[in-house]
Amino acid sequence: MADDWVKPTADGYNAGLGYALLRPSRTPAGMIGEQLGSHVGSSVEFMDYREYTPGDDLRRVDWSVYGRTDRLVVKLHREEVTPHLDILVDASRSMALADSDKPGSALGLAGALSAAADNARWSRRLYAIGEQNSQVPGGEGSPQGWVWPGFDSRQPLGNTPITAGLKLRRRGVRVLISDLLFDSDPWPIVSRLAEGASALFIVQVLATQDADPPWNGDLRLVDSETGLLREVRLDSAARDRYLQRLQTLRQQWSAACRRVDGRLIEFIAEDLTDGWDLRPLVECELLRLS
Amino acid sequence: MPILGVPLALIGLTALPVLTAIYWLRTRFRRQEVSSLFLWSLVAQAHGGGRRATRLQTPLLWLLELLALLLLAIAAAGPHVPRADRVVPVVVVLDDSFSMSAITQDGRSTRDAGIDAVMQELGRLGPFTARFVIAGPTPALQEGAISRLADIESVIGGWRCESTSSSIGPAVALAREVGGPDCRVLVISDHTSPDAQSRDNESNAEQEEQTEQEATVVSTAGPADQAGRLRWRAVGRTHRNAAIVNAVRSTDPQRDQVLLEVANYSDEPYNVTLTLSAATQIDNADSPQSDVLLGPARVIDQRVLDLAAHETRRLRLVPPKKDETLIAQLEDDALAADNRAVLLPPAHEPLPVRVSIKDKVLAKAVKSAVQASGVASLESVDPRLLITDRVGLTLPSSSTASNTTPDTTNAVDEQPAPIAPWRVEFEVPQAESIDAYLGPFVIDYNHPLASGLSLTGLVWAAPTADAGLPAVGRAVVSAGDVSLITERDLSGDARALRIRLRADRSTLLSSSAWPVLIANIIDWQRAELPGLSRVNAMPGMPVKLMPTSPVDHVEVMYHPLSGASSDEAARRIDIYNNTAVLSTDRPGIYRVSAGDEIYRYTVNALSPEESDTSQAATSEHGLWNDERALRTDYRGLAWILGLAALGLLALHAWLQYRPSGPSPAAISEATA
Repeated sequence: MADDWVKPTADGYNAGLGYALLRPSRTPAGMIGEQLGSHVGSSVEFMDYREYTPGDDLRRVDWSVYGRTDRLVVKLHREEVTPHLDILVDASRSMALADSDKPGSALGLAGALSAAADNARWSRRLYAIGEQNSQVPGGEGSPQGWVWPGFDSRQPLGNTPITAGLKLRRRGVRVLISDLLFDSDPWPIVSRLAEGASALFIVQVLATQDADPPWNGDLRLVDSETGLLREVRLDSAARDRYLQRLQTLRQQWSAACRRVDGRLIEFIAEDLTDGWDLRPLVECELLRLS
Repeated sequence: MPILGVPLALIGLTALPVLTAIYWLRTRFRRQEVSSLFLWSLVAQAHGGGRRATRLQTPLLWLLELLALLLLAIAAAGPHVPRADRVVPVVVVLDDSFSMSAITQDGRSTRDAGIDAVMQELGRLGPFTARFVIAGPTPALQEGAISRLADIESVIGGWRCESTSSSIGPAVALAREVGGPDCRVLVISDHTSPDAQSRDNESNAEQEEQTEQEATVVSTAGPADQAGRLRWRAVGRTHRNAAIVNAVRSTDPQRDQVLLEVANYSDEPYNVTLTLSAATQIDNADSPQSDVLLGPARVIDQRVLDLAAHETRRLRLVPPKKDETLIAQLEDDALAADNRAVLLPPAHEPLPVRVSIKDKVLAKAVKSAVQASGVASLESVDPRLLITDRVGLTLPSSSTASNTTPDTTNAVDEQPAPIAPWRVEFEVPQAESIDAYLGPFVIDYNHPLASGLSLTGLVWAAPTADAGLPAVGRAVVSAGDVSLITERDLSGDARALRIRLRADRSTLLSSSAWPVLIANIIDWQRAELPGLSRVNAMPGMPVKLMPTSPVDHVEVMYHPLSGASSDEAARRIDIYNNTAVLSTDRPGIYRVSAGDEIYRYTVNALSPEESDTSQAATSEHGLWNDERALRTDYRGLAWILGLAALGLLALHAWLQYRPSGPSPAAISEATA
């Protein structure tokens, strides 16, 4: 691991020692009605009924209820949760934006979640998501033993299947840490991540300059991933337009998360590394105080 | 007024590039790495992105600021526009010297270029009324005024460019007098203005010296130094020119000689052919208005003069016949006026002078000076002038011419003194009663004897104040209360001069003042003789005519130097004190009719200054307008420009701070 990221990672890990992962109380929407317990050696527990909506698996329709009441209802089951945490960290170059704390904060968050998982006695794995997804060697241990491949991927996150090459644990909790700054539909990513997961959390880490560009005048912008150039005149109107676009992006991700009963948490990297305030993770029911 | 000469305007102009630089620096692209570009896709992209050099952006606010600054800078320069109802009075001074008649290779003369310049300058003025002054030796105001360029030829017919000199300074003064305080003066010449020349000459002088010189120039009030409203257009060009710059014919018929000087004023050697011809005069007293003055000419000599650059060759010739007119002609070149000289045969016999002085030194000096004058001869019989050391001889009269006795005991010659109408008496004092005077000498320069006379530094030995004979008559030269030269009229046309001089104790005889004094005496006496004072006149030196018969006027008929006819009318010259003063301003042959008497004199274009065209130039100096002209003929625009600038600034402020509508940035984007 690069020296620049060791300290924030350790700081995040230390911050996470005061927390523990919270067992998900809700089942991701994509898993509703599925019986997946046979694969993990545990039965499926019936939880409730709800009205049929188009798209629901007809095999899950409770025909007996239909016969009695002439209403189409589907059976809801509480999925068995595997106590495992899969942490996926965006390894693209945008996460290592110059003059920002994005890489430290991303790995620090991973460290904090690792500490919380350890406190909850969950197993965990750490993955680097990039041109070639890979499990981080030593990711099951303490951050000092992580062999992080670096933020070198020139491929935006949405260009390749996000779970390709990964062995994510079914019914585990999955956390994606990324800046989400790529021009791609969030739904394929979110749906694929939610598939087989008991809970999905997407943590967006932005640099201050991503969230509120401080510049004025004419700028020659360089894409940190592709190296493409764009010359813009940045004034208040242009800044407003950028922020509006960023807000739209967040709304798209938030909507996609809601479809799978996942949660979107937003952090400003510089603010996070300043005090490692993890309360947003508690508020979204990912962590609890240990 | 040039905009660069106004400090505020200059500052305003300087602000323009500064403002542009500020905008340019603001529009330079700074490199900034961002996480991703896709969020910036909807932000306006600047033009020319990706190039190393980008063109200047032109936002509206910058244009408004630039325009406001420009208006303020122009307003600071004090721009003016002509009033709609103004009519500009102009007086044009035309250089009439013959150098303006030089012909270029394309066949156009300097005069033609001058006319073009006049039309060009007048055409710029708008409505005008112009009068013209011909600057010959004396300025002459032309009749009539024009207000249209098409009428210019009708009023400059007298601009012939034949004069041997041009009095531009007096002509400008006349132009100002005629035109009044509001007029503009335009000078057309082939030379630059004296003011411009003096500036060129002073360019290397130190600042303090330059200031003093300028003050001196201003105080002398030269034509071009008077501030404002004087514009000088020099339209001259240098030419390859050979000229006859001096032509003199002796007045002694017994020793008829001609002196010619031919100069090459070009920078290259010049082989020029000089042809000498002799022609008889057509002396038709019965027909004074005859068209032709000279008969057929016969060539008596022709030679090629191989002149080096800027060389002047002097030739002495003896005419074959003393009663023939001699014509010297050079081959044609750019300036034709100075290629011909006509020398008439002398009209007067030399003045007979008798010298009767015992002092050998003084007698020799007197004789030498008389012979050097060239217009007198030493005669012992019937002299017109007697120079003697006897004082107080009685004058001859028609009845007592042969019976003259001295009236003083100071006579030194026992023999009878010669008789003459004029006499010069040398009073030679004894050695024990003299004083040597070193000056200062008081000279009456209004007297003909004092012309060109300078006694500075001389020792003049004369009787003391209480010695010698009593001074009688008008004192011409004095030293303190001692009269050295006196003059008095005697009966009839006789005159007596007394010169009190001890020659051996003086330095007068060995000085240049001595031949001047004797020549003045002889010239003065000759001027009293009937007829023309000279027949081959130098330009600018007036010719006097004393008719033999009593008439109240004479008529002067001009002919060109070719002797051909002229369509000009004869000019009437009135006679005062039995003398007519005739002009020599224009080269030509003049025939003067005084009753039944016919006289001729010639004026040749002998002027090295005009023949030398090496100093001719094409340039422009001076400004039409001064402060007074700006007030009277123009309307100031500064306040209008100032208001316009304020309006632009108000628009600028409104665009920048208005509460609603597109922001300045949006305007910038739209403009970009």
